[in-house]
Amino acid sequence: MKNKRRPQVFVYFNEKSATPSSQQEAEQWGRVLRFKEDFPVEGLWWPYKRASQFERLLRMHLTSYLRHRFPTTVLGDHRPSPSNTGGFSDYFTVQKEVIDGHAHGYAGRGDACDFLKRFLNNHTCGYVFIYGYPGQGKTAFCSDLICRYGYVHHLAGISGGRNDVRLMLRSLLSQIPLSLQYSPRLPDSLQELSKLWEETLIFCGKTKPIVIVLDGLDELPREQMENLRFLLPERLSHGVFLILALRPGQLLDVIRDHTSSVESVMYELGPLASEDIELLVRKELTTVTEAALNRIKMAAMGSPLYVRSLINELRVHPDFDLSDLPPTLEGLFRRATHFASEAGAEGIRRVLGLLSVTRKPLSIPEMQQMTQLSHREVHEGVVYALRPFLVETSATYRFYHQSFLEFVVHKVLFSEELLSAHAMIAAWLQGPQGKETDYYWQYLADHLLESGDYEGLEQEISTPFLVEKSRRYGYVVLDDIDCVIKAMLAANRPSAVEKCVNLVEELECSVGEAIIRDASRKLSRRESSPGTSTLTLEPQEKPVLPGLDIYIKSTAGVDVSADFYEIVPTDDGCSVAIGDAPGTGLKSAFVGRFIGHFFRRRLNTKYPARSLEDINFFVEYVRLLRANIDAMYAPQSRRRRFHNLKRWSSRFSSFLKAKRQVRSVVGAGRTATRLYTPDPSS
Amino acid sequence: MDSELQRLRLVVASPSDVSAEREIVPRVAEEINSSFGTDRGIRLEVIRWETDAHPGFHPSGPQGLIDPILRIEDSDLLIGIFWKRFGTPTADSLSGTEHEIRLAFEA
Repeated sequence: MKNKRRPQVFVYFNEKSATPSSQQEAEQWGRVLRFKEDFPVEGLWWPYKRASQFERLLRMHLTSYLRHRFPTTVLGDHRPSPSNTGGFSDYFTVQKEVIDGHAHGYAGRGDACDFLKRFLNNHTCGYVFIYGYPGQGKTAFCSDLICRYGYVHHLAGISGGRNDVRLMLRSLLSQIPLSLQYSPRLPDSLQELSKLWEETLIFCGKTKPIVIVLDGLDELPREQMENLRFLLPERLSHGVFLILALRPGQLLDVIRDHTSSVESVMYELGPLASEDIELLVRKELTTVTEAALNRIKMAAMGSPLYVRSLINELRVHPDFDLSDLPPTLEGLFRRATHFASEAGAEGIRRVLGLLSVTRKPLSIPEMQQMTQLSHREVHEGVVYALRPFLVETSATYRFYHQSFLEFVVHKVLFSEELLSAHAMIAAWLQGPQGKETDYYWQYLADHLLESGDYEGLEQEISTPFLVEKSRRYGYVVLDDIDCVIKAMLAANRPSAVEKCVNLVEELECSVGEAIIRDASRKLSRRESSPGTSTLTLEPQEKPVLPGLDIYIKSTAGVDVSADFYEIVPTDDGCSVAIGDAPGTGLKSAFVGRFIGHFFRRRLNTKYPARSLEDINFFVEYVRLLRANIDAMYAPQSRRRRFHNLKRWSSRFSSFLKAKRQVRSVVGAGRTATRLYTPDPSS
Repeated sequence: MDSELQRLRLVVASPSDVSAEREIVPRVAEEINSSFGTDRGIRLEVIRWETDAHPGFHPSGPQGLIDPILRIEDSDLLIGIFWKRFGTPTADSLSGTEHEIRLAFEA
C-alpha cells in the first residue's frame, strides 16, 4: 500500500517560555535549539506557542497535503452526463479554474473554519452568512471549503452567465449526485428549476447532510436580484445548510429578511491575524526570513489582498522593496478611485480630501460633520467603495498604505482641494464637537497652517492655548510653535518674529520648564504601547536563552534637545542642514527649530559660499539668544533678559527686511562656531 | 466498505514532554477522516509508540523495538514535535525522535 515517495515530514517546535529546573533540563533544551538550527532546508517546520495553535496548524497542513495529493473528484463524478443536459455540461467549468486559483496557496482563517464547524455540528439546518468587504478573501475562503470538503457550490461572476439565477440553479443541480437527484431531468423554466431545487434539497437532506456554498451574490445585476428568491428557500429542511459569502450592505439585509424564519449566523471576515499571515507567506515563500516576514506583516496590516499581492510580487521579484506598493494593488486603487473623477463627485472628493490630510483616523460621523454630507453619501459614496484600501480601527478609517495616500494626493485631488480639506478640519476642530477632543489640542495649529490661514493661526495659537497645551502635553507644544515659525516665514512678516519669541518667553514664564517636563514624563508613561519606530528599533526576535525569561521594552526620552536636520530638494540633488543649539528644553529646542525652518525657507543653492556667510550672520543672533537662555540661571533681572530677546528679534527683523538670501548649510553649535566661508564670489 | 479506503500511515515522533500535542494528532486525523477523507476515499492511521509499541528487549536498545512497529520508511507522513526535551540518546542519534526524523528523510 505504501507509495514510492518519501514520507512527508512536518515538524513543530513549541516556543512557549519555560524555566529549566536542572542542568540536565537546560542541556536537553539546548539540544532542541541546536537541532532546530541545523534542521534540513528541505524539511518543513513551524513554531507554535499554544496547543490550540498547534492543532490549527496541524489540521491545515494535513488537509493541504491531502488536497494536493488527492485532488477532488466530486465535480467530475457528480456532473450529469451530457445526455441529461442537452449535449453540454450545466456546470460552469470556469469555476474549477477559479477555485483552484484561490485554493492554491490558501492558508489561515482557522477561526472562521471553527465557527462554521460549530454551526454545522450543533444545528440541523440553516444559513451561514460570511460577510466582508472586497479584498477580505471571501472567494478564497469559499474555494478552500469547496476544495477541502467538495461542497456543492456556485461562485457568481459577471462573465459567462454566472450571474443568471436560472443557469446557477442548473449548475447547482448538476453537481448533486444522480443517486440523490429528485428527478434526473433538468427543466428549463426558472419556476420549474426552483421547484426541483427545493425538492432535491429536501430529498438530499433526508439522506445525508448537504452543504451548499454560494459566493458573490452581490455580483448579480439588479434584474437578477429579484430572482434570488428562487435560489434561496425561505425554509430549509433537515440536513440542508447554505453558506453565503457576500459584502455587507442592502442585499445582505434583504436576504436575511427573506430567510428570517430559518436559523442563521453571521461571521465577518476581518483582517488576517498575524499567525494567518505567517502561514500564508511561509506556504508560498518557503525561504522567507523572519525579518522579511515581520516587514510583510507590518506593511499588510492584516489585508489579505495586500498579502496576496506581496507574495505574488516576491515570487517574481525576490528583491522587491517591501516598503513599496505592489503594482497590482496600485492598479486596483486606480480603478477604485475612478468614480471620484466623474461629474457630480464633489462630495466624494471632499471626503477623499479629509482622508488624505487627516492626522488621525476619522469616523463616519466626524466626516459627516466636517463635510455637511449625509451618512449615506460618506459611507456608501467613499468608505464602502474604498474599503479594501482603508484600515478600520474602532469604527474610524484611514488609508492603510502611504502609497494610497500619495496616489490620491497627487493623482486624484487638486492642491486647492487639499487646502480646503485642511480648512474643513480646522473649522470643525474649532466648533463644539471638535473642541472637546484631543485632536483639537494636537493638530489645530497644523491644520490652520496647512490651510494657509495664517491669521487664524496667530489668533488661535495664543499664549493661553499654548499654556494649556504645555500643561497637558508637555514639550509637544513645540509643534505649535513650529507652526507659528513656519507661518511667520511663509508670510515673510518680520513682526511675527517678535510674536514668536514672546510666545516662548511667556510660555516659559507662565508654566515653567519643570511643569512642562513633568507633563511630558506623564504622557510618556501613559503612551506605553510601542510605536512603529519602536518596533523597528527593537530586535525582531527575542533571544532564547535556556533558563532566562527575556522581556524587551523601549522608553522614550522626556527632554527635548535642540538638534535638528533639514533636507531640502534642489534641482541637482538636495541640501542638508544638520545642527545643534546649546542645552535642552523649550528655548533651546525653539532655537534649533527656528534655524532649521529658516534654512529651508531662505535656501538658495546658486551661491553656496554666500549662503554660508549669511548663515554665519544669522548664527550671531543665535548666540545672542543663547546668552539669554544662559541668563535664566544667572542672577540677572527679567527686564534684562527680556531686553536681550527683544534686541535679538529686532535685529533679526532687520535682517529679514533686508531680504538677504540664505544659501547654504547651517550649523549652530554649542560655541556657535563659525563655518568655513569661501570667497562669496567663487 | 472500509476496506476500499486508501490508508495513509501517519507516524508521530516526539519526546515525552509534549503529550498534549500527541493527543491532538489522532483527534485531528479522525476529524479529517470523517469529513475530507470520506469524500476522497482515504483514511489516516496514526501510529504512536505509546499505543503501538510493546515492552521487550532488543540488542540495539529500546529504539530497536520501536522502529519495526513505526515502519517510518513505509509511512506517508511524519509529524515531529519538540518543546524543551530532546529525548533519550539512541545508538546512532542524540535522541529517538531525531533518529525517527532522520529515518524519514533518508527513506
